[in-house]
Amino acid sequence: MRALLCGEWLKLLRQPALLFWGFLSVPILSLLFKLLMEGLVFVRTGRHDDAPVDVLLSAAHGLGLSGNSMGHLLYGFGAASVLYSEYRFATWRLLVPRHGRSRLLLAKFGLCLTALAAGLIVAVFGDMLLNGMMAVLNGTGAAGLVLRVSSLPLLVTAFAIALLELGVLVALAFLLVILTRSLMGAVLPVFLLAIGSTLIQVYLGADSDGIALPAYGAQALRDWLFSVGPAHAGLAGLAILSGWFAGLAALALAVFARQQLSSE
Amino acid sequence: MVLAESETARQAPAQEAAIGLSAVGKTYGWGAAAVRALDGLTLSIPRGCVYGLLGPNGAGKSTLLRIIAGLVRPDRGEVSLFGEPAGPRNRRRIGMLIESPSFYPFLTAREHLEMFAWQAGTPGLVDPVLARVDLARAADKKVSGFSLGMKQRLGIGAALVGQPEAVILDEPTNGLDPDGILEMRALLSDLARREGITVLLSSHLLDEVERVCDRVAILRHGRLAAEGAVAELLDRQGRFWLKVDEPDRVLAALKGRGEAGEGGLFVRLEPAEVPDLIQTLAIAGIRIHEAKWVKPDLETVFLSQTREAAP
Repeated sequence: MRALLCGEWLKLLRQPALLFWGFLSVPILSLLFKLLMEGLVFVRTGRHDDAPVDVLLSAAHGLGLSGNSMGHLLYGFGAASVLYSEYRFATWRLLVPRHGRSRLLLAKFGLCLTALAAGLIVAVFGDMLLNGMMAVLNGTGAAGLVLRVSSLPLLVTAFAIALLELGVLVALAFLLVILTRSLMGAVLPVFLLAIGSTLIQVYLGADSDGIALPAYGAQALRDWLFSVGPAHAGLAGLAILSGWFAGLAALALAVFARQQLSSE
Repeated sequence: MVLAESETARQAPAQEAAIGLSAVGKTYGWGAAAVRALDGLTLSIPRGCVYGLLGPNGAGKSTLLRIIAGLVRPDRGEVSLFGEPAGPRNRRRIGMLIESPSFYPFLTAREHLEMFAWQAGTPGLVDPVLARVDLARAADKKVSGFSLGMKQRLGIGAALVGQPEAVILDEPTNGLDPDGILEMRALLSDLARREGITVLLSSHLLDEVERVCDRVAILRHGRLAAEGAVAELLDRQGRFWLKVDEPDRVLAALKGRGEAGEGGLFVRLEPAEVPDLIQTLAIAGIRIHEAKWVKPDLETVFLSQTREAAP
């Protein structure tokens, strides 16, 4: 499996556009957006927030980018492309006889999760760097930053929640690519689901919490983590996310295991 | 370079098939649009031989290869590899080039082979295989710039780099220049004769199959139309040519076993019957000007097997 994963990484590294837009652009763009916003505040007011910033807690909040609808479009594109390239280049015939289907799908899943985790790590360290820069600009220096060890579990949990939410997205994108053998057939529904979830939440408000969609499950978990939501809602959110993840991944594996690769 | 001969292959009993198919059937589509690609095909490919798979377009060759590769599931029947039911574990013992070679355009030839070699645990074979398929000079070029012939060579390299016990090559000489075809022919013979690797070769080049293969199977409408050693198949279709004074009289006496040819007649008979026929003609006072066995080439056999009426 390790060699298979190395092969998948080699393919991704040789497609820098896919690596950037599919896995790294969301954290980088969100950091740039944050920099722009903080910069505007700094330029307008001449100073930053006086309160010292807990860098770990700030990074944990920053990991909420996994719930961003536009982010889902780019992440969906990345995950779907990883699988779709085998249909596009008719290269299943090189891989399936060598490895068997479940191992291949698991390796591609592993690739996407590790690449997404790398993106989240970029987001974490980028957020820390940004806070450091703002502290320097603000003239507070190191005094403007706080490193609370008690915030580390929060950061780790926020990371796990973000990865689980993106894991659901990857599983959905994989299932759709397998069913439609198309890139657009996967990316558009993933994006529409993300946009739809946001719109439903806007229209229904708190009533939307009863709908078992992955985006709401992840949000309920984050609310619980940052102490703005009840624990039972957080648990329900975890159950929803895990259920979607397990269901979609199992369905993708089952469909791919029986798929006729008669023209690829 | 000599790829190490597999211990398993050498020690296995000669009778054990490298690839076996038992009553394999496959239909694509449903209802009126259903197309039966394979119809209860049973085939056994012995170890260490070069086996040719022939058939007109739509005969089921590609489906058969895809089923062996695990790309398509048969509706019924069993596929076995090296005496065990086919699965991912024993498919790894086979190198495959299925249909047209497909590769990642953004990787180089070396990167492709390295990737497959890591996965097979044979990283030391990358350079020797590149040299063997004559891609050493183009090894670090991206595949997007390769010609069809170069892709074909890389496909064969990819099939060999895992040190397989058997290789399945679908139209391996497609896109190769005449020199490349000769090299390929030598390579195929080498694989089987020197390294004991079983080769299953699908090709439309009958002359090539006749030169390279030990045994052939001819498919027609998803069924086996003919199978056997090449020499045996040619012998089976051999006819005896006679140029005599009174061909009509001889034809009448042969009662349907003969047919008129240009300036003589062809007779279907066993080699052991020839002396009796000559003697009978001599006793009957018929002068014989020419008598010889005429063996067909594989093309003639192929056409006779595939042009028969559909079942």
